[in-house]
Amino acid sequence: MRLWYLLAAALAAFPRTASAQMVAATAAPGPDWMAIGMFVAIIVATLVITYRSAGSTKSKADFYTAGHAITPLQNGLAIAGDFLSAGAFLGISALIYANGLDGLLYVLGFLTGWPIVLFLMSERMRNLGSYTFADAAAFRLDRTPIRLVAATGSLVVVLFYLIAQMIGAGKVIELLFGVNYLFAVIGVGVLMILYVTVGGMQATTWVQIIKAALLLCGGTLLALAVLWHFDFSFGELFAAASKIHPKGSAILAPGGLFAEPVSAISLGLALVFGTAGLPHILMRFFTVKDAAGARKSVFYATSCVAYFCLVTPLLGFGAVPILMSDSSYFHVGASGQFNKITDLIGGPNMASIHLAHAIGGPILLGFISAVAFATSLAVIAGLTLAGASAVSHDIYGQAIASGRALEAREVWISKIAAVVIGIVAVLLAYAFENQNVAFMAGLALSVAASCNFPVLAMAIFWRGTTTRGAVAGGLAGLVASVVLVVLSKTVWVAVFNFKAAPFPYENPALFSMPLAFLFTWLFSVTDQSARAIRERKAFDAQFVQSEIGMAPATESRTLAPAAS
Amino acid sequence: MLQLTPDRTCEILADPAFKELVSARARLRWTLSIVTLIMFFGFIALISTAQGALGATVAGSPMPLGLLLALFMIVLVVFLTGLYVRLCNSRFDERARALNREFGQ
Repeated sequence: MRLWYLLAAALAAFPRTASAQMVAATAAPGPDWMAIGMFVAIIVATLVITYRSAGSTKSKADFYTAGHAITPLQNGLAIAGDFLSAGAFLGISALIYANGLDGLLYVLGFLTGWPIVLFLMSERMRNLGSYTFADAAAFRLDRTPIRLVAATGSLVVVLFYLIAQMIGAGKVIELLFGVNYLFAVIGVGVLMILYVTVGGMQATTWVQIIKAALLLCGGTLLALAVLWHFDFSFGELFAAASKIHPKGSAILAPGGLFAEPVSAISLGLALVFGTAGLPHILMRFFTVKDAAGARKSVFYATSCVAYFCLVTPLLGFGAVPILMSDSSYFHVGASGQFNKITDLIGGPNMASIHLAHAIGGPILLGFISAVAFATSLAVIAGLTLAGASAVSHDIYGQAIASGRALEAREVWISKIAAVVIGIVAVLLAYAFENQNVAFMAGLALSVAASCNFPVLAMAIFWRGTTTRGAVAGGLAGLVASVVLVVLSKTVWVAVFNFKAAPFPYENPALFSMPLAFLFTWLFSVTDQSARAIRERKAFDAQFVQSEIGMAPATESRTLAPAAS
Repeated sequence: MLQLTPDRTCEILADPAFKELVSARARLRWTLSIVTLIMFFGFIALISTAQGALGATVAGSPMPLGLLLALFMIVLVVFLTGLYVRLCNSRFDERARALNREFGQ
């Protein structure tokens, strides 16, 4: 049965390679066997891992958190793997390629979230919860409504984030194999469902670790090649870049993208606090044994992410002089003219992929494409798992069955949820085909910063928080951020084709995040129910547990009277 | 496993060792968080106000000032997280474990 699955996935990943080759023969750079070989090797390796871990994934704890038995170094790499998505690798280098220095704000924002997560959240989370971040948020609050809100927020974040990753993966396949974009995203969807349903957290973690290692090597290789191309002279690199870029030397100064402070601050808030609300990242703190393990894994993850942040700008800036001087990487118009940014074959998101081809030929192209693809795939698997556990653990297991669900049934529901999430993600990825992937990830982060983060932070830090307040705040943040995204240019103009967007800023976090905190506060202080009084009283016990309580090994609650 | 009955909770909260651990750790956590946030949002403020200055090249270096600042911040973030992990490992973990043992009976 399982073998059959694997076979089907392998087939789906390579739809009609031969005919694809003919289609793509006209487009540069067409498919070549080197690249395809690399692809096959990576996918086969991950499928073998999935197949092997399927045997050891039996209980619920195995499926969600790999039995809490991942070591901090492994977990750190996996967190970095989760976080260094296609949005980071393809998206940031594309932003720098298109806008220059401005793209760096994303780099810094992605990174700055980490110390905040480490200092304020990770250890407390591990002490309070066992499977999903809602465990910690619902520690002293009424589990059903809190989990429903947390799970809804998680699902929305996961879907937004998934779109970004699937666009990245789909585009890489489209470019490399010349297949239709729709087939490409469907192939990705099939693979992702497979990893999650068959292998659970164990497989997902290993896929992440391998991918993180590959990505760090691939990025380093590419960056070294760029430096070598310019005789290891940064001066020459930047001079060449500003000479040929349509924006000239303006790419070396901040400007265009964040000239207006409201958007810049809004994006900054989303990037920094969104990280502290990403369900698939928070979930990773439960795969280690205890709070010290969670802390160490964040340090390893931060180091990897930081190293990557040092390397990526080189790729973006390097791609400018190397690609823009060569018209074969662009759709050239009839008059021989082309836009040096938007006419890049496959869109600007593909800048680092083309860069690999330009400086390393088909071998490097194959390797980097395979890495980019594995990157997307791994993040997609992690996200799907987080979304599926929100449905099965939080909504079904805790909210509907009140913690008395049969393990097998909960895991089974989780697998169904993974399939549904996969299908929805494929459809959305198809609708948003031409969005910048770093930008889409930014939107996901703003929803996370406006719903998951306020609920979690208020429940952990503020004694006065009650269930009513947390639910009101979480919903307010969720609705506000989603509505503002829909009313902004990205969706209102680009998807619905209206003329002007009612919401003038690109990122909602500056408005929706404070709103969530305000609502939580307002609906908590006005809440005088017996439940609210009990919940405030239970804060002391939660505080002690979060400070010195070592991780509860099972679901059993230390706070039975307050939680019932 | 801690059994946090209301009496036990009060007892722990009143324990001097617990109080000291919690407040020392909170000081470290919040100080580092605030330093990080000031640094990041300060950079954003610079981006939207002092664009010319950030684009200028520093004497003796081929890179624009904005890029150098960004690289410096990346290194600083790693340093701060490393510092935190080090301090926690050496100062707090043993005390937290001891408290957990003491009250976990």
